[in-house]
Amino acid sequence: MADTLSADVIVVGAGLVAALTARKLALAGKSVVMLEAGPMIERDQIVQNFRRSAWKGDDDKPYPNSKFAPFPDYTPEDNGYLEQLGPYPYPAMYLRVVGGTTWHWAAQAWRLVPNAFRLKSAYDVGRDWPISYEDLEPFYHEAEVLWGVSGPDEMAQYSPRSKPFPMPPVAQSFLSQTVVNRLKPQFEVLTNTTGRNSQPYDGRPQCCGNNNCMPICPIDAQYTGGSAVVQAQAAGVKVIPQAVVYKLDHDAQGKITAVHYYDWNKQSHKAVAETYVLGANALEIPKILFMSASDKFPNGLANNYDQVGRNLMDHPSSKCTFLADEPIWAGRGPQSPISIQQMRDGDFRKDHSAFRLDFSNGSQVTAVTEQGIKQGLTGDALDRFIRERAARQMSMKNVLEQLPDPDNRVMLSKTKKDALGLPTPAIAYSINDYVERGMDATHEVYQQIVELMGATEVRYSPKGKYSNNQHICGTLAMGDDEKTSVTDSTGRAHAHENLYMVSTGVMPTVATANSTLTASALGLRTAAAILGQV
Amino acid sequence: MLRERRAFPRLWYKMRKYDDGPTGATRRVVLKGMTSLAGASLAGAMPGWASAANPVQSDFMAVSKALVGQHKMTAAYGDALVAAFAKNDPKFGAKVSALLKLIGSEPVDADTLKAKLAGADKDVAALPQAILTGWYLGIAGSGKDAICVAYASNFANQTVADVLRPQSYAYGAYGSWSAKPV
Amino acid sequence: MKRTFALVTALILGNATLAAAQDGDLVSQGKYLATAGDCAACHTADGGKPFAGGKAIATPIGNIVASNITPSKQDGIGSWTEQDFARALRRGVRKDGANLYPAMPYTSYAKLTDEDVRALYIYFMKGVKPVDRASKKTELPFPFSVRASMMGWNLLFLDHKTFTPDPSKSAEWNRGAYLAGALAHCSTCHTPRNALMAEKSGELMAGASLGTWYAPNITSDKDHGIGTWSQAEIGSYLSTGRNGAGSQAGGPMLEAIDKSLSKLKPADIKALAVYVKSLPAKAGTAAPGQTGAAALLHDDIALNNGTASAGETLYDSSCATCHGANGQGGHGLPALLRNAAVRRPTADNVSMTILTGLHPTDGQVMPPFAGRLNDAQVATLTNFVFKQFGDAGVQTTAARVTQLRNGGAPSPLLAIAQYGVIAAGVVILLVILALLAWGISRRRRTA
Repeated sequence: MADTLSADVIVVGAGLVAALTARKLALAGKSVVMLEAGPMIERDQIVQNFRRSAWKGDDDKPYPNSKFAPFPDYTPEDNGYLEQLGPYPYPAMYLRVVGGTTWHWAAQAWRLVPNAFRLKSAYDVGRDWPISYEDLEPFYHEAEVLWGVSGPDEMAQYSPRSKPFPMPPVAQSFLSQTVVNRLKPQFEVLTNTTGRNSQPYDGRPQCCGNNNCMPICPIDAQYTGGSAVVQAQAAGVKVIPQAVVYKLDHDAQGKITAVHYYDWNKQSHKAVAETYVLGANALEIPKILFMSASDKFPNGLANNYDQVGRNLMDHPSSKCTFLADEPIWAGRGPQSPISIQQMRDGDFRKDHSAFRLDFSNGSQVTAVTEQGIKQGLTGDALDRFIRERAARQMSMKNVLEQLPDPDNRVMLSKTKKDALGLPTPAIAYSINDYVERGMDATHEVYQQIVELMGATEVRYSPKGKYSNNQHICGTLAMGDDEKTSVTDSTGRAHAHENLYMVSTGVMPTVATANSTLTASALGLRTAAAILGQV
Repeated sequence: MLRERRAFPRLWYKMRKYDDGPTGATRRVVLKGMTSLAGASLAGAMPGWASAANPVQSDFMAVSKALVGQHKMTAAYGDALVAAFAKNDPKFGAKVSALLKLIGSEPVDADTLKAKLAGADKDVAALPQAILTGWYLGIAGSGKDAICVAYASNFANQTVADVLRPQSYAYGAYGSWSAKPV
Repeated sequence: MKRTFALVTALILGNATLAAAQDGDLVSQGKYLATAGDCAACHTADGGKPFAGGKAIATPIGNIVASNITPSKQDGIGSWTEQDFARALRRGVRKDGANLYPAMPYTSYAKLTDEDVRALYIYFMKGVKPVDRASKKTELPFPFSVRASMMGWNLLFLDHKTFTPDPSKSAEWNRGAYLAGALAHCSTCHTPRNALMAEKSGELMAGASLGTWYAPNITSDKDHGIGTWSQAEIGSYLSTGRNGAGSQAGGPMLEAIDKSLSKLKPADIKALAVYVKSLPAKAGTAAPGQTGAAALLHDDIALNNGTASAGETLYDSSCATCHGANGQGGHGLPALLRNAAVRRPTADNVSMTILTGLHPTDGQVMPPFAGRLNDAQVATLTNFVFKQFGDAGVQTTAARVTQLRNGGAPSPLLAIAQYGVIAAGVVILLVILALLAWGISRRRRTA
């Protein structure tokens, strides 16, 4: 048994949000250790893994899955890490590696709109946050500067800003320009706000159009958890990989006194700190809290009112694919370049889900080739099909807001265990009418867009079938009332004075923006709270 | 059936004589005269001889010629595909030979292919699409047995190479994607 | 006489008429000259205030720190007269009489005309903000710390003559020769140096190593220099860093283009191109010339089945993303196939580019790989790139990469000097001992 590790702050999980929080604490003079279940990885190896992968459509495949820090895998078959209790499957995708899941994302960096924080007050649905947009605004900017966010000035009409974006928006491809111009004036299509460099930033080059944001940006033009960990280490944060946290100890008052973790030789270690920060993603944090159940806290830590793991929300998405009436050649430039913001807020939120509408610029070459082969084409006919369709096929999708539902929840599986003997997550999930009505509203918009684009061969995802977006929220919701929330407005567990959570899980509603920027801002605010500044 | 059984021992004897000789041509001529199944049993029985892969390779290239149109099939790419397919499918060589007999090596279009495969063994009928996936997407096999044999140089990427780069390879200097694709 | 005067006038003012020398005009004139002479490259530290010094210039005998040349009276040159300024600029002697090291290219600036020195002086006195912060002192190892040793060096190697136009050449050529010789000081990098680190007079611009980066042969030699470049390509290179035909600037040349050459007037760029194109052909250090093998990579079969060489694998993981799976570049990203950088007599520039990247002021950045690849990997990758895309006869070693990473091999002068010092010390010690012995024996005799 190794010596007990000791630091001012122990952070569990080395993802993007955890790393930003850790860095801020270290810069203020705290000794900070991050314990990450997964291994260190090297970007260049991941790029090679991607190019050699036989399942290039699966963003997780280039990343090393392991039996000691397993994560869900669905290609070529479900590895069964997540137990699905239904009625609707929630096939979450995430990584357990140093840097976390944001190694493979498109770095979308929208802020929430102000009404997202007061859904209940404004529209009598969902719940209100314990803080307002104004409370979070300075932390949003702090996060944007650390990431390196590029965005168009027009976004200020949706999310007001006190300071301009660190960088101008990324240059639009011909596809983007075509969509923008064809949809005017009915729809305002804006360049996405992203953690993607339109100029050299923070020692990382500007984008050069690899069109591979997911699963890996080969040149770090895109901010990721990998970049965040580098920033944290530069500030003095110590990262210990292959450290699988399985239990937190506490004293009679509920103060956390130690963290226990396994290394990959199955040896157990102990680490102690004054302050503990859980940053291990919105499914794995509840797992740790549940596994830490004790006599005093039989339902797990931070869970006196059965709120942990509940209100699981994501962004259900449904796609529409079509052939444009001119060659627009998807695949030149970043994968997710433009979207429509107009439907993210409005009175209709009383009745149906708000949504964002995203256009994809991902290369269509593989998809159309598979389609042509499946249709039985050969030789020159196949080549013509590939060229014609790769030139004109594109897709769009919506990102629907799901309301909090306590029955949508993550728990510990009663039957499945991993190689360390730890229970895996079990998920109960469903999608309700609020979302379905939002889908109906989207469908009308799709049809208008299809007409404006002169689209043919329009194909929709099957009705009632949605993809999730890995924006896992709600399971550690923050709130003023401990009976209906897990953490307070600074991310501190109601029940444990020295336990904080930084994660998309603390967001009480999922809203209509990808959650990591908001989680980053909240994490930076949590760090400020730990330092007594809030 | 009877004929094969009588042919079998004779071939066995003949193969042993040429086992260590460089007379691949002789072996190939002999093989072509047999049914594909007999060939597969022989392959299983005499690994040293069959793994030379020349017969499978040449059948594979011939039948691929019927399917891939104008693309240049290099020996390296063909060899790699055959090795990858055969790794997880011991019947691969036999299936390829059978397919070659059915469709020949002259280019076939979709309708002709469909007609020629009517009534064929379902494994053999599935092979053209697998072979095309191999050349065009660089992937041999499917499911958990899939192997990536080529990526940037697969035919799909080559077909659009004047306009696009394969994902993970740069389009160009920042902003170069704004221009209309020529 | 008239023609010379006309030439001199033309070269000072670049075809403008000789206007009244009002201070305002002189300041902007001096500013332009300071840009052409690239004073900021050394005298403005990265992220520092203009001309406030502090930047350490690595040389084979140690770091030389550029001084504060703002008009600060306490920490800069605010109290200098024009004569003091001219003496520093052209003779390499400071106001306090100490010698400057020729890292300050006073051997080039010696060619400046009096009028240009005046304009520079007025610019530095009136056009630059004073910064009251002393720059660090230069500390070289003994005996190089003795600045007076430069006096001997200057006697041997400093030509006091200001630029004299060549009447047999055009006004444009003379303008180019003046810009190159007196201001842009091209020869201080591009001309090889002798054992005492002075430019070899018979090898003008024939290529030289700067310790890490290699300044190529830019004479008109068709095989070993840039004799195949058109004048337009030379001009394009000087003003943008790219000649449009497979050559792009990196390292210190990229910096010179960003900070100085890209800001010159088109007529001056043209004049420089005319001059450079006329440089007499010199073979310099010849490259092996085994470029026949250079070819695009065929396919990625070997990469996928694990039989690719270490070099090819490194190329794919580190370089192919931007330079192309086949080395073909495209849409503004340079091809490596037959790139000028892989046809040099030395692999150093490729290794240096891999280590430090390329950071133009405008344009696509190439990131550094010093933190991602070790010396053996950089060497393997460099060798692969030369074999695959350029001159297969040029190779490097991990040991050389280690030297490059550490700022270059130390100069043999250092070793000689150190041994020399030790030898001198031993001699002195022996002399003292001998004197003592003699003194003792004398006392004995007299006792």
